[in-house]
Amino acid sequence: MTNHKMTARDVSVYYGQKRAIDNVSIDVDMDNVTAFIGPSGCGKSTFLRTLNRMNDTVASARVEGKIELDGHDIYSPDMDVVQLRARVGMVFQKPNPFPKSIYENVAYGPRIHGLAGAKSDLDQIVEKSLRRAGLWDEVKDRLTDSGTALSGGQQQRLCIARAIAVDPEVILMDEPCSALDPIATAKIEELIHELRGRYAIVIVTHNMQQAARVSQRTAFFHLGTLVEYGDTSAIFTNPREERTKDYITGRYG
Amino acid sequence: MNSVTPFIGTPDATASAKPATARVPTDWTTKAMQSRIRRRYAAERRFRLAGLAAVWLSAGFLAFLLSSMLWQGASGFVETRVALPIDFAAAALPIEPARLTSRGADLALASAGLEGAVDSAATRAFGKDGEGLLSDGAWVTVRDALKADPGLLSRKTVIAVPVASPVDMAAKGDGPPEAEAVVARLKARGVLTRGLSMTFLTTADSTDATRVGIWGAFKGSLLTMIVTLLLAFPIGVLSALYLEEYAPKNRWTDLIEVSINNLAAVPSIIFGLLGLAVFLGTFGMPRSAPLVGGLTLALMTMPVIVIAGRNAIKAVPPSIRDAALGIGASPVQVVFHHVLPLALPGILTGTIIGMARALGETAPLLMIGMRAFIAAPPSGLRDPATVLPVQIFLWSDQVSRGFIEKTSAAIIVLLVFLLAMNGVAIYLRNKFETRW
Repeated sequence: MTNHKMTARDVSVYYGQKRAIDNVSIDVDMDNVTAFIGPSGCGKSTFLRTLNRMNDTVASARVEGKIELDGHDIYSPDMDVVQLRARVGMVFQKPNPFPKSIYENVAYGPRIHGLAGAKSDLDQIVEKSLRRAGLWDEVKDRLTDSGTALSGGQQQRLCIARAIAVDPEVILMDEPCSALDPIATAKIEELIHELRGRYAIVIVTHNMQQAARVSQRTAFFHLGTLVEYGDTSAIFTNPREERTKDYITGRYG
Repeated sequence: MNSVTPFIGTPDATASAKPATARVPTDWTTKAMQSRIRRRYAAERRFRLAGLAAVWLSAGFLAFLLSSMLWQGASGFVETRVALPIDFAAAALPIEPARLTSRGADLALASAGLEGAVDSAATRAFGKDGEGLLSDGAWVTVRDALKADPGLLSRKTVIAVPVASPVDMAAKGDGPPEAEAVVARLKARGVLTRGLSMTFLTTADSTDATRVGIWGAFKGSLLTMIVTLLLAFPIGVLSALYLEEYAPKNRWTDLIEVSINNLAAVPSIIFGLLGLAVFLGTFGMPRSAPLVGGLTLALMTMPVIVIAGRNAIKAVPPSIRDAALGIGASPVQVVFHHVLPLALPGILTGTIIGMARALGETAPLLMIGMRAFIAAPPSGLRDPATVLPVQIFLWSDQVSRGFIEKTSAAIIVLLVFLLAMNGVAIYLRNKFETRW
């Protein structure tokens, strides 16, 4: 296979002496939504954060192994981490819009990366991103209102709009719906469906039905190891590993 | 996809089992229960009353301080004047009227014997002790009148000039008995008036209570505070940002943190000694200068700003940093676009506290020579100057009664300065405050 967007080979992550991720190898494709599932503390979020080097902010964290984006090692010295995070965007568990206007929230990324020359270009990027995030119709008349004044689901879609405004290739979502109600969750899931194909999407979730609904590939993590990785339908209907089966039937986790 | 159904576990069997003995409901009406509830309410009432009393007590002290200052100090801004008839034509001052509009007018009038002419006019008008009725600065008022209207030089006129300190005191109802008699006499002739003392608002220190001014000390304080703010604010904020956002957490940064906290608690006079040794001793800077005063106070203010700044930066939610990093902001962009704006209100609060303390500080400035008698307002950072609290300290030490009201008036000026400074800072803080 050659069209993997990101490949991870034998990746281990340490926090100080403690090993949080043990020898994980995984591929992320452009046309698929990949879900990471597993019980709390299994390392799925840690692994997600190594994919755009957000773990660099944790002083004690250390990454071994190789992670490539389009064949380039993202931990090599010639990889610019600022650029990497523009290409591999991230949406967090708790909606975290900047305490600025809705417009400024979306415009901030393109502005710092110099993606828009004129004001009209920037306006266009903001509108396009908000439309893609399915938020435009709800906020188009109040772009100057504070982003924090929106509802939780709207805030999360604003964060998604903010992430896609810098035109990333991969979007990492770290339990994006865990703070939202079912209706807002449904909207985000619908949005993930629509974004699929345009971006490679990796989503960490606690909710197995959600993984089943939105993803084509699923990886099951347990105690820092990757137990099973395969097509979502196969994982949920016919898991190879006993542990996977126990987890998705609710026997532990 | 449906062959395995997630999330259907068997209900826990023990949860629905009945306990072995029947449960006795708690009796909330027993005597012990009732009295406990009463005691809890009483404790709450006592606590609320104590808090209220504390608030009223401190408000009362503040009101007492402010009203007594205003009561004593307001008269310091007012001077008593006496209408002095003066015949310039008869005095025949040896000076050309044209010179009065030129630059050297002050010197020319002084050397032409204006002071003597004013004294003899006073003797003529009020008797042989008339000269003593006038303030030492009376002739300055006459000089300014002449400069404003050179035509007076050939005429006879009446000018209201400030009276001497004992007479001024007596006119305000608190003078020596002989001055009281003089005031009664002058009042009968109807020549006494009162007015806002421009002398007090525009000049510097003097040995005569009627000639002292607050402007010199005010300007000294202003210059000193500017130096302090320009140094302490950026250095303090940058230190706080570096320590919070960049510095690794290890033994060295712990040591620095402890040192900064200790520095904030060091008695201010120690900073004065440091300033004396380093700025005056080692670097040979001019003594009594606002520059050195500002440097010394900046040393004292900086730790306060660093501590407040670090707390404010710590309070910025990490999710905002993640959000900015996650779309590819560099660490500097994260700090200056997000962290600093959100922390600024807190930093400004710390700055207000630090600057207010610096403004009221006397001890360290005594050490670097700012307690000298300075009779002219400073015109630059390197000129000798004094500051408001030191000026208050110096005047409160004076024997002459006239200085009492001047001391209180200076305190009012200091408090107004403080309120204005805090007002600006609070305005800025509210402006930068972000609604979440």
